[in-house]
Amino acid sequence: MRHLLHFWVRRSSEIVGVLLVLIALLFACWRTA
Amino acid sequence: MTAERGPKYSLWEAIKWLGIVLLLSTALLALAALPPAPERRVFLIEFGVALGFLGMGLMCLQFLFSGRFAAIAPAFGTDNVLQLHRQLGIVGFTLVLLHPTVLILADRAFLSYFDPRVNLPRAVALSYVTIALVVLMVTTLWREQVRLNYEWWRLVHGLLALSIVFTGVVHGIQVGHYLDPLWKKALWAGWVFAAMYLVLHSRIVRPHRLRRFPYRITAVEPRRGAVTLLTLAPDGHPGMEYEAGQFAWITIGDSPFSLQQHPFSFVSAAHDREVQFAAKALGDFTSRWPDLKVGTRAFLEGPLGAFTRNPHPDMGVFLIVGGIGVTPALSLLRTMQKERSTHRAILIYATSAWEEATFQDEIEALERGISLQVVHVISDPPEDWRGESGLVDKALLARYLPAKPNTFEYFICGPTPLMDIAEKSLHQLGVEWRRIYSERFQIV
Repeated sequence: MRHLLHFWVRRSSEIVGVLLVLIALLFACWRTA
Repeated sequence: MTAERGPKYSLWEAIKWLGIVLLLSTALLALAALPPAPERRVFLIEFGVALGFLGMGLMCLQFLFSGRFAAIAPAFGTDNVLQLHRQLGIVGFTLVLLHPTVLILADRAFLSYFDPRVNLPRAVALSYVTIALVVLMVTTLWREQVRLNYEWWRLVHGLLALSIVFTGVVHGIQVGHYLDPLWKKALWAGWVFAAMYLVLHSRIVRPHRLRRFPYRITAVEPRRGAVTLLTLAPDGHPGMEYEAGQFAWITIGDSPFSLQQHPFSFVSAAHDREVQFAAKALGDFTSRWPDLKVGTRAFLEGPLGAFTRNPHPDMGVFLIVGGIGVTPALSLLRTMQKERSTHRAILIYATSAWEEATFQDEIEALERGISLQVVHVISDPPEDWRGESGLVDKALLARYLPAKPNTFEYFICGPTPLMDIAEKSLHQLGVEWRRIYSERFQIV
């Protein structure tokens, strides 16, 4: 668990970054659909 | 002031915080998505605008993670909260810079936002934000290379961050579009101002409250290896309740508002009224410690940190420390002695030279008081040295690991390479991750 937490904290820039860009893309799709 | 308490690192906590991070960073975009919907524009413009809202949301969230709020630290460990701040800050910076980039790529007309002939205040504000963001990143990621000392960096970092999000609020209101109705503008500004208040709270309100809880230095004692031990007594208040392994931010002098505020682990046993801290003379702040006078005022912000034992410890402790990282270990061991603990303790103490192994008298006293085995590991030993030498590695840890490793809790504190190798080796030797605690402070 500690390992997973370390992974999440240290890689959170990638995880959150990718998720937020996906959300921005979804928003743009929804607005232009 | 009470000690941080909370569940030790659990998967559920990590998932919960991922959810909270996503929820809070998308809150402003959710506000934009609420009806009434404005006119539709091309895909790339909508994408660029969404990046702006998300970037602002993430920047606001940074104020929550940077403010040393006691409710947040136990979930991750304070070091992880600061890492998270750093990591998410980089994402926020990228999203905010992508916002104008994507918009200009979508339509060159957006370049006029930076044109002083079109709108001077707007061009100045947006150019300022762009430059300020870059300065914020460069001074943080390369603080030492740009020769900015910690105190000035802290001030500059806070002021830049506040001015960036403030400009962002005004920019959002001026552009309107998704924020056209007044109630949306009010919620937008309210959200960001609430986030900005978190900074003011940690930098102004909290130090102001600290003024009522001063401490006095009651002893300044030298220890081996250029280490100074400070003892402080609460002045006119009962002191603070802290756990062994926690730390506090120390300000020395008559005002708690000093820029010179640094974190130090408690050396004293948990709940001792008089508290002790130790520092090796390494920087501007710690080099002054040997010359501090008894009677000098000091302020402590804390306690913070989740580098603590479980609330009802029924296990032994295995401590792996390097250099001045011995300080939280001393607090843990002294607390065991105070509580007349019968559990076993093993201390692996790595230093570059025997003379650097500080607090010898204290450690010898602990060996007489509790069931403690001390293993000194000297990386550069004298010729007649018969103990362990070289660096702490898996083979060395295997020699001292208890027969049933998961009946112990493991605490690691020291330089980053030591911590990395110790964490990995312990796990490879069969120690469960949840029994391994470590704290890292090398953030900026």
